[in-house]
Amino acid sequence: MILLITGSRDGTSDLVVRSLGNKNVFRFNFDLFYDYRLEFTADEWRIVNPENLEISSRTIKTAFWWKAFSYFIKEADDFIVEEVKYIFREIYNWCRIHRKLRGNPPDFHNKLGKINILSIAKKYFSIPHTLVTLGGLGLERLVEEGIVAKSLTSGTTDTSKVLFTTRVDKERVSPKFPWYLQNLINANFDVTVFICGKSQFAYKKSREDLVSIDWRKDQDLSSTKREWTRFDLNSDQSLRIREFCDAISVDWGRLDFMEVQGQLIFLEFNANGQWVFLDYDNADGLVDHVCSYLIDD
Amino acid sequence: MLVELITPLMLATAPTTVVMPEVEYNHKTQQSEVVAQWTGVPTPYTKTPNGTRTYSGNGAPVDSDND
Repeated sequence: MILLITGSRDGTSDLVVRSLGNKNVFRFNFDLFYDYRLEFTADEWRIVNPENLEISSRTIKTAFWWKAFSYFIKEADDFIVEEVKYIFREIYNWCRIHRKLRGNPPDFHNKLGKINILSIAKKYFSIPHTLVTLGGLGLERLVEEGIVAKSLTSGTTDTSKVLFTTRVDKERVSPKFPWYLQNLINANFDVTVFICGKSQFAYKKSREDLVSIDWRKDQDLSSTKREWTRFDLNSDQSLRIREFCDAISVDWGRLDFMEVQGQLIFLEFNANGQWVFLDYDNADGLVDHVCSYLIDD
Repeated sequence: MLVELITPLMLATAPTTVVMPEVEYNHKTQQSEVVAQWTGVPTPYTKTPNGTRTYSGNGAPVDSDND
């Protein structure tokens, strides 16, 4: 049985449960922790849901963490929330120790990070000049033609705003703030490659109609328009991607690139690896590949 | 002439919000089910909007990109 550690409102998890079959997966929703019964000792653990569906340290085959802490527990004291988080993390760590995990841990970027990943990626791909700076140190490294500011964390401000990739004038960036800056790339396409086990699924999206620099800002959230087109990587691109994934020890996630005159320029590695938006109607069978990956020993 | 400096906070913008339908989680099917459709968004219902952003239960974005 697969242990899916997630939240109750997660649509991707609904899709996976539906495809795997209800009897083959145990969905452990962080935000509904009060619905479950759990025992966890030094010898074993067992979780039971209100319908008496059960998973244990003896019946688990694989475990997959999917955005569990992106969902919030209503009306719970922060102390209780942290205690529950501890339990979820420790179950996940048990799965790691017993080599049951699929996908990447939720704290993947805390252990590696965007710049360290770039330093590995440059062995396999072209990368843009990139700078993380405090106090404005190193700004002279970036060329004048165009600079963009990005977010390291993708978090929200106190006013629920976010920093999309935005063009900035380097003479105007305040040295009193942290900055993640990159030279602007004038690309024809955004490219993203979903890694699922040994398979690579490459998609591209024209930048012609983008209103802003960042495709994330212009995402069509309606699921009515297929925004990304699947294409085949050439053998050299595929080999480099495989070698890069080996170098950072992953078999899951998404690599973002920009395509300039046929050449892929590496931007970042997305450890969470969201994939439904690429194939929301399952025309390419991504959900089937994901389920096979989750089940595979 | 003094150049006005910019900060990351000044560049931040409010992402698109979505109207979330009312859903209830079913422990038997282990899936969430719509109990009341939203109005005003002429699209099929999906709990994970077609994108990489995460939304809270009331439709407010909680990140720019949960990847």
